[in-house]
Amino acid sequence: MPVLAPVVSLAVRGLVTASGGQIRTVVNVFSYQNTAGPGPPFDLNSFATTFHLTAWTLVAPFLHTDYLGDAYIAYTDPLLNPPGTLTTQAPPNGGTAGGREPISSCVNFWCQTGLRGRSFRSVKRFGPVPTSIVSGDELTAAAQAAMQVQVNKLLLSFTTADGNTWSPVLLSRQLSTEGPPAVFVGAPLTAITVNRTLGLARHRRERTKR
Amino acid sequence: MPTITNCVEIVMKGTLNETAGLKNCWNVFHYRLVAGTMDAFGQLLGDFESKVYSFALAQLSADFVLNQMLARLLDDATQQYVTVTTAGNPGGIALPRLPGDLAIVTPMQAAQRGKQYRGRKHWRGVPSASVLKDELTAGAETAWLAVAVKLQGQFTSVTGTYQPCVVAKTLSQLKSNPTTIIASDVTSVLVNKTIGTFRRSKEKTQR
Repeated sequence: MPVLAPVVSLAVRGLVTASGGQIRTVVNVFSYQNTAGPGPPFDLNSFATTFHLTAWTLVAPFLHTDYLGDAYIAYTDPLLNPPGTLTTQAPPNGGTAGGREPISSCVNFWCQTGLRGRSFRSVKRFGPVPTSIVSGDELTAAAQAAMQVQVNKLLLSFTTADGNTWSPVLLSRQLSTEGPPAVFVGAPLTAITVNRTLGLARHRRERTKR
Repeated sequence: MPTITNCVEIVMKGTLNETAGLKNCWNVFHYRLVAGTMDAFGQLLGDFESKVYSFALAQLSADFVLNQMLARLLDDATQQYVTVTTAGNPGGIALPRLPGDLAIVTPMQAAQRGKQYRGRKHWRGVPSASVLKDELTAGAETAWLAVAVKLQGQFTSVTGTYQPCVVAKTLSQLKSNPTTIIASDVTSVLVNKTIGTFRRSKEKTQR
């Protein structure tokens, strides 16, 4: 099994207020392996800030304005339970006004690696989705193309202020083992595709109201 | 356990227009004869459509089209469905609509306790005009509450009167004669304000 260099997972936590006033948490997790540089201890604040500037800030404008960026939470051992390390960087808010789809509706980013098997592919669920970029069951062609351009930035490596270089990976939580020392099993991300068909994130759904 | 007879299963078959093709959408209803004699199923289906179902159809997106109505008597396991083909009745509210895997949900309750005596209908083809973010708009909620009254109430055809009921499919024996139908009369039909999900109806992923 492909064992990775030290991995840091970054949870991007946002809050969405549902129609009925309930606040729903929307979390997206991205994992990066340390491919060059002095190694640990890692500057997690710098890590979050660099990810913020090079990747998430470019994608977040597609989210509806109901999405409020709350926190970047870093995990040096991704199998450990929360709370992780709360970084000083705050994520951006969603940038598209107007109506939105229900929170349970999302855009799926299909993540692929060079390896076969269920442990080496995944999906990121991106929402809440503005109505203006949706037509029926699907994203509009223009929105899909525009989003794909920005989502490709999630595939890029970056270097943080402490000199460490990070490249995106897909971490298999099932095959990895908790530390110390943690063993990170996964594979470098090779492609992220924006699905035209909208997906479902039922766990984010507003609790039933009558 | 409450056993009933003269129970009719009504299936309303429609399609939802998607980019990838037409998605079949079925809604199944159960009614038992409470007064008079059983109508011919063609007549029964026509009356069910006009007196109950059409009120729900009027609140669905124009992308949803009702194509066929089927009925059979559950008392006789050998009886085949009687089919009535419609002219293709579309939903009453103009596009746009929400994705097909989202639905308006109307839970049905009966006097008996337990999961076997609860039901719900998922209405796919939700018009965007009826929804504000995660919930039905106030106007749509009022309209669906009126639909719920129709779903809850008895309806009368030419010779018989029919009461909606929830059939406990796992407790009943419907595969061979003599059948045993365990069911309970519907006492209330609710309307969930929150938009529900219906994963089976999701469009096949397009990339």
